[in-house]
Amino acid sequence: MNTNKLYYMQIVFVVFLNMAVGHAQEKYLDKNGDITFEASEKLFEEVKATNQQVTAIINIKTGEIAALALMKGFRFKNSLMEEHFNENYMESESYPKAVFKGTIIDFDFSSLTEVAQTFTTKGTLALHGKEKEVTTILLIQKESNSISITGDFKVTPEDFAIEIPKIVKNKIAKEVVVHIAFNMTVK
Amino acid sequence: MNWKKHTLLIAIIAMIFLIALYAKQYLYGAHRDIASEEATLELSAQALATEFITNQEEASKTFLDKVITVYGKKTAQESMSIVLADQVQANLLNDHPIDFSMGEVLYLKGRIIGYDELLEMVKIDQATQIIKK
Repeated sequence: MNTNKLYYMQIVFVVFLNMAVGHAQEKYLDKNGDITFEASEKLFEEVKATNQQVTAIINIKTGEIAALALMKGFRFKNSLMEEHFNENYMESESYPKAVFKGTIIDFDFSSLTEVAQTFTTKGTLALHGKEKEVTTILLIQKESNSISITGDFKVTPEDFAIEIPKIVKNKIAKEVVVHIAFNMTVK
Repeated sequence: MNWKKHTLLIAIIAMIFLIALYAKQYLYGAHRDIASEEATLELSAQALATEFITNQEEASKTFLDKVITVYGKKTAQESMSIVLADQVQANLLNDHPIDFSMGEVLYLKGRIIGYDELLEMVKIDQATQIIKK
């Protein structure tokens, strides 16, 4: 009886262990992803910043993808621009992050190759206390032991209730181009 | 009279020059030099993460942009970043090699940029002065 119990416990343990390992391998992660956004206007100073500490996670079974960028992690060439971005436009102390949650449509991990393929991705981008549906095309490729994802999409300051003062309105593009580049490895 | 005019002219030119210089400094001033700033606080990776987990809003107000010293056991590393106690991810300012082993208690100084719920870690950038104690 006792040995039987032990035997069952062992089975349960192995099953749980398998589930845990299986679960871990479903997710790919990048702790230092890149997001660059640009809203430059011709003839005026470049309005561009890069964050190299973005977190991105993808579930390769479901195609679910999530990314998180901390506002304070966006670095501009111009320090005053960086200060204004954080204090006046993004209000980073009250809204410290931008979060994207979405799904890569028809994602199939086994079909990924070393040649980048395009996938439509739908999701919600939340920042500055507002949310917006975003649909974009991502380029996805498999490398030796990682998944590389790149893509661009456009948003506007109005989408997120970010007010641009009149005095600088013509120096900042109406549409902000956001470029992402993630290189994800097994979590 | 003529002499007075000259002095006035020179004074005005000097003034314009100073204003221009000040404006340039304001518009194109240097970035904050985190590496040369003193840490305002020293705490463990765990204590820092707990602050954000218990009250993110309050912790953001208190800690964002602050230069601090944080310490904890090294639990992971990538080319440019060190993870302390699975709770703080610090990205290094310089591309110097990280020659510390896993499990060693490290102290480092950097700027807090916020709490990352996906990772469940506090993120720090421009980290320097990485020491083993």
